[in-house]
Amino acid sequence: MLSRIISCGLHGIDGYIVEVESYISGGLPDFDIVGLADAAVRESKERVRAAIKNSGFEFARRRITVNLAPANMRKEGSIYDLSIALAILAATGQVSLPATAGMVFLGELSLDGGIRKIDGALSMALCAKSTGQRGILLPAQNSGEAAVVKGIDVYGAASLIEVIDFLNGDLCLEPCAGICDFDMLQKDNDAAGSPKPDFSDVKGQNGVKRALEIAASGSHNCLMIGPPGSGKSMLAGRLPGILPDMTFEEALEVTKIYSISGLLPSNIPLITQRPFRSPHHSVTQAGLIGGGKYPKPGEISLAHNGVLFLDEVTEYGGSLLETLRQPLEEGKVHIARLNATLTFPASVTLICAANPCRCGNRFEKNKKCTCTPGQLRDYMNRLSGPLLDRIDIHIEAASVVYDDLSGQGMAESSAVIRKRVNRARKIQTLRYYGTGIYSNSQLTPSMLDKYCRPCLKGEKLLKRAFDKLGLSARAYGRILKVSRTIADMDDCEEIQAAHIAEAIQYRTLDRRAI
Amino acid sequence: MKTDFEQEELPYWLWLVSLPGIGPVKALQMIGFFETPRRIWEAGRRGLADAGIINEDELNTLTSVTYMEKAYKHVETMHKHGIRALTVNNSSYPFGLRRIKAPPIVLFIKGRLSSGAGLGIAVVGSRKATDYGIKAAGVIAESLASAGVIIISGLARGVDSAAHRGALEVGGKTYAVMGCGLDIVYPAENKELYEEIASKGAVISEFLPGTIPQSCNFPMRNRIISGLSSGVVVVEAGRKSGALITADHALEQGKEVFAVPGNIFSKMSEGTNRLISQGAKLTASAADVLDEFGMTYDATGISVIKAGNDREDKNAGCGEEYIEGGGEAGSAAEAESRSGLLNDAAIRCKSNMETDEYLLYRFISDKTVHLDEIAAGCGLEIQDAAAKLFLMEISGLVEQLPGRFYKVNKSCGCVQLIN
Repeated sequence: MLSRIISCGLHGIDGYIVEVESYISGGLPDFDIVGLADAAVRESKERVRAAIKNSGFEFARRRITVNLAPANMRKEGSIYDLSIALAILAATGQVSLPATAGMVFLGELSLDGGIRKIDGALSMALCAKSTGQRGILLPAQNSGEAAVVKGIDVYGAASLIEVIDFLNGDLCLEPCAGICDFDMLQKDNDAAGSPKPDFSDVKGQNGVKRALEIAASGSHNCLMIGPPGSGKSMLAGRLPGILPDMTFEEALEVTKIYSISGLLPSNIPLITQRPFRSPHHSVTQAGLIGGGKYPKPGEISLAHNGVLFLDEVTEYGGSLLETLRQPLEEGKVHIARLNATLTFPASVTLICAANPCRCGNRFEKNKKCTCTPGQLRDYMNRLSGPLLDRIDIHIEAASVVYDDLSGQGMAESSAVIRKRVNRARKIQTLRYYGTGIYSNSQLTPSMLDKYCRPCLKGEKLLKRAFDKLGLSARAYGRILKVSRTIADMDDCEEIQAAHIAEAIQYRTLDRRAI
Repeated sequence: MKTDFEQEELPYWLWLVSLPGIGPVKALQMIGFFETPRRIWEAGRRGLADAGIINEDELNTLTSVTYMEKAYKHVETMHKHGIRALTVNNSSYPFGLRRIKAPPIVLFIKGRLSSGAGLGIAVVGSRKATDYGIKAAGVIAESLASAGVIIISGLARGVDSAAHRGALEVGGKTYAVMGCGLDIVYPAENKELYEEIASKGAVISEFLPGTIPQSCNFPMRNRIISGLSSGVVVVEAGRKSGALITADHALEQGKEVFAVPGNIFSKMSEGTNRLISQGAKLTASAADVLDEFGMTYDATGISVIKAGNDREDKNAGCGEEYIEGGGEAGSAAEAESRSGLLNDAAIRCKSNMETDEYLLYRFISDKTVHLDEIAAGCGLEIQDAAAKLFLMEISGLVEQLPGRFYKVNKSCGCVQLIN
């Protein structure tokens, strides 16, 4: 009268094994679920009862107790429906209990006995594998996603009857075939996705394009300042097209986050393109860095390994931007709640865009800026020093001149730029192999000496530039990192004076202002 | 430690200037009658009424104890902030200032006023100055200061700050006249500049400590700027700029007025251009100012200038700025190194400038051009153009303006060489 089925729960982006125990005893008919279950789990009583009956099985009219162990962790969601149903059926002898050994069962039941899609299948499949389970059975729509995990049998099922027949040996289910070739999948996904906007759509603005190429190559945080209509948002929107390819490990991390957030489309088992997120400036703190009663990843985590684009960055609430400081530094977000502290990955390339001033005409050649010095100062003060500290590249965009717009000359396409970006990124991956970092932007101060030694001429230039332009000390490390990336794009092991010179050009906000 | 004067007399002076409704003119009349503020206080209601200078209302203010109590507090604040007071009867009170119509009864000072009769020139202008105004103020103040002139201005944003910075840059002396108490820094972002001026020159105000920068204070402050100086250079001023008030004061006080000409389409030059049409001296360099005073340089000054001229001939001209740069009286050695630097640049322009740099330089010529345009126009990759332009910027050949616009740096003096 006792049965035990293995299932899985989610804690942050990782899964943990949950044992679903069911005990059926005499007494008044009753159905109880214990083990810190939330409302959605407790409601599963009704779904389980209906699904079992509608699948043609008997729902025991006895006292049923279901325990979700470990009983001290809070369980949420509807993923335990299937395992609860199986535990009850096994306890009443309608399902062969030995057949369930070593298998993880996940899935939400519908009243007619169908199995519905769940969130976080990938994380739970990874958990099943790491804890040495034999196989995992989950909704058919999630099977592709879970099959990414190698070394464990993944079965997809569409209804409760299928599962029961399979366990009783009346039906033969084939394990899902995982993806064989990551590169192939990447190409397929590239081709399948809707066509992305291309860099060649943007006429002119070669300076900004170059800066974005550097940002993509070295994963540098970047701030674009320019008048309205200078194409900041347009250029940022085309950034995903030139971001370097993801490695399999990176793709797994990204997919896990999307999977637990329920944002993974069922036809894409693995996300192979770097994410690009651009939350509106009315986003809340929980929406940006993550949160909620059962903490969910925020925009910064959804942009993990990709780009977080904050358009009109001066319009975001001051404290909102400050909350980005720690994640930008660490590449992780820690969310503390009453019952647990969760950590979500949040290693992003931050791209910000802002107007140069309140009226927006500051860099315009033919329009007059009407801002007072006080307004100018207040406007720029909306970006705090510590936040600017974390931004490597400042780029000023001017309005596009008519000649550029009407010009027939073809601008470079994203594909061409992306090839260069990929090459530069490969150099970095090789150089930093085994050091725990993978791009120039992540270099620590102690690593600067080792990897970013400029040539003699470059060093002299840097010193002169500091004296002449009154650059702040914090600019030093940033300039070296960016010049490292520029040198990599040039396929140069040593940083040359020209690389330093270009890098200094991207520190406009550090210059002494009068 | 407080001096005897601070203990005994100063509170009475502060009391006198803190009285509402009693301005410098009336106060001076009373001092003329009673000799010291202390005696005014001691004269009592009777004595004051007998003097026949003041009316009934003012009599009430003068005999009220509240103001006297506050005056003692002011002495404490001054002591705390290191502010000194210079009273109008003091022999070191600036001579030129004492002669104006309503000289401040008490000058509050942080720093040191130069005791000699050095030439003081005010460099003033708009707070919303353009790049041109900032640059002109800086260059003119630099050259004047290196010729030993004291630069006087108002620590405001824009032209004023640029003038102070220019003077400090070459180690010159500069005074900032404030429109608020000296315990307040206004505008706040000039705090560092304020400290530097206080340590190397002087910050001056006629307002009691704690006075906030009210807009009505500034026109009053302007009369001190012009009063302290022998001439006023207006660098950039819109039609209603406060700098024009300074110019008016200067005219009333019989001081020279100079104006830096500007673009006829620029709003910020409307005031200065009008000043010129009204007879102010057109000022394109420090020499124009010094000329007006028949400026007789001392021995060192002349020799440095001559040396500069010689070198200029050899190198086929390095522009005017350079000579003025060499006109520094105080440290000839520094002037030498300065001119050496410019020489370097000049020689580079002539012989060593790379083909690309020359190309870029010619392309920009007298326009303000965006980086993208320069790169396209010269057939260079954007990164190469950016790197080259930066090197040129470091050598002082070009200047970068906000928004990645570039223009040729005229004050470098290499323009003639190229053309």
